[in-house]
Amino acid sequence: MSSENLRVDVWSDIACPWCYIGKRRFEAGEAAWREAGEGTTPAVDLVFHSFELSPDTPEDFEGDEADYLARHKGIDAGQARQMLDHVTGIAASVGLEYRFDMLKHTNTVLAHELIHFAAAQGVQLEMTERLMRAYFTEGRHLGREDELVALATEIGLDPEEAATALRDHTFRADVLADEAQARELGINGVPFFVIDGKWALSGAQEPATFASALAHAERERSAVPSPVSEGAGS
Amino acid sequence: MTSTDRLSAPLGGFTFVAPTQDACEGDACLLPSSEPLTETAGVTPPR
Repeated sequence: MSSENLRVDVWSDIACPWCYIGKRRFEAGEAAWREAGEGTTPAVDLVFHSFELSPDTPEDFEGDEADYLARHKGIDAGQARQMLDHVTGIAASVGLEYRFDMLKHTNTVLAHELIHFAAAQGVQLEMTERLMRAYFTEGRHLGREDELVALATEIGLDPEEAATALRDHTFRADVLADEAQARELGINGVPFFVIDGKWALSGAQEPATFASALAHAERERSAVPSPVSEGAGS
Repeated sequence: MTSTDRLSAPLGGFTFVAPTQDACEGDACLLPSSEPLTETAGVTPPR
């Protein structure tokens, strides 16, 4: 990692529909910012952090996402399907195919552990993308070790090492540390982006907003010294 | 770099550069949110 690079920290959950949409919009915004910069823009170090939206979700739930919303959230089934259709349409607008009819609602803590395992191997972004596609598009069950190991293997990770890491919960502490830091920073919702340790964006912003924020961070970096940080502040 | 590299927020919190857009809070996250997050520890609202 070069100190010249712009670091972007992102808190997100695999099971968060806006997080995958936000990831696509950020990528589009970064591309637009880079194009406008005509080769002068710094590289971006994108770092994902764990955030479980619903840590009490069971590993297995019989039914689709609309059923889950209806049974656990008391939302009328028809209204739930309308909401899902709305999000599906927005996902399609950024090139994502959401299949809530196939989605396996599950606890995501193991998936987050796998992302940390992948990060330790230098392939965090690949793992995050693969898990999001598996969850929202392919109806894969991300609460199960065998499914997670298969997905890790697809991106070139060692299946035995991945299985051991998941079985031993080698990275559970890292997941919890990410979540503790989110609480310390006052992050209540995801996706949550922090550019250069200072500039924050909450939610699935439009690509143009991400592009502007990156340009802003780049300008500010050259204009003023970086702030000295001693914690989250309060 | 790994995800365990910890971010240090600036004193006074982050500066928002845009109002909050669609986001998930808890697992009731499928309705578009139009309200920006309120000020919380370590986070400052847009200036």
